[in-house]
Amino acid sequence: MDDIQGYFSLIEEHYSKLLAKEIIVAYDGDVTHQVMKAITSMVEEKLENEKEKEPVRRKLYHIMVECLQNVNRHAEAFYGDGKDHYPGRGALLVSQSEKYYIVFTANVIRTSHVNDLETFLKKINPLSGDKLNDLYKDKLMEGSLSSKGGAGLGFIDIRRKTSNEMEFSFVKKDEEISFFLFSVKITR
Amino acid sequence: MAALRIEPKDDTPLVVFNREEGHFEISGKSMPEDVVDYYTPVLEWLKHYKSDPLDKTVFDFKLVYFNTASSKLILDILMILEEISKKGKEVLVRWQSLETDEDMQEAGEEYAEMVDLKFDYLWFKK
Repeated sequence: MDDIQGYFSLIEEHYSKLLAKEIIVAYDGDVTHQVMKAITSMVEEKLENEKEKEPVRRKLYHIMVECLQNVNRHAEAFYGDGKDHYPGRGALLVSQSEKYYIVFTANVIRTSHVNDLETFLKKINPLSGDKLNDLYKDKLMEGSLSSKGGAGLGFIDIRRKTSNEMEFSFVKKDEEISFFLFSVKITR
Repeated sequence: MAALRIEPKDDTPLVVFNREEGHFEISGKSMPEDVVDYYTPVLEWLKHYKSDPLDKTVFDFKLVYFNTASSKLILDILMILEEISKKGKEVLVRWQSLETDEDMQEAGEEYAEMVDLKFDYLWFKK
């Protein structure tokens, strides 16, 4: 994982394990607000042209925005081996199979944050329906958004927009940084 | 008090607050780059309005999309409306969803559970 090629092979490796599919969009780079808007409207337009059902389109749009905002807010910088990963950088893949749309993201996070994030995702993953809704409301009522404006609401919302569990893994690079790989399936 | 009107953009909603006309509306898409920055004047106006509200405030939410970052600010707006209602003034929230967008209607129902306000649910067409 010493260079960008390594980064890509990691994505490829993870990606190849997913179902047979067609890639709608693949992006790696700075995930700014403008990039997020451009990618999400591009996918939205494509699906509209393909006459995908509106509720499915809406869910996919919703999930893409939250996934990209997670990368935008939480991707950490990492400087090593002359290949810099600046904050807000990440990769996104959106693909489709007969049954699903799949949104996949990868970005750098601090190794010290892995435990908390993993615990949180494992906690919300098996939840469904009312429990997720209650948790969402609790988080919302708790008020203060985190300094980065996340408050964990994004993941809870992603989880409750789909009946499928989220998939994720962490690949430790060193004591400082790890790669966070995340994917979610939206049933068509 | 002076009316507030914020024109919509591709990632921010239309906001119209007009005390004289009794028109209070937030409509469109809400996913601003900086939610706090965007909603600060909106909340400021409402806090000001709270000091001298109409006997009846009908507040329209007509959103087609809002991100989770915006959801907290929407709750903040509703909480100000709740304070107005607690002052003995009538407040009605008209939560309007695009037809077929059941998730949006459910979002409204969730908010209705979080604040003590009367909600009406309506559907609108594109």
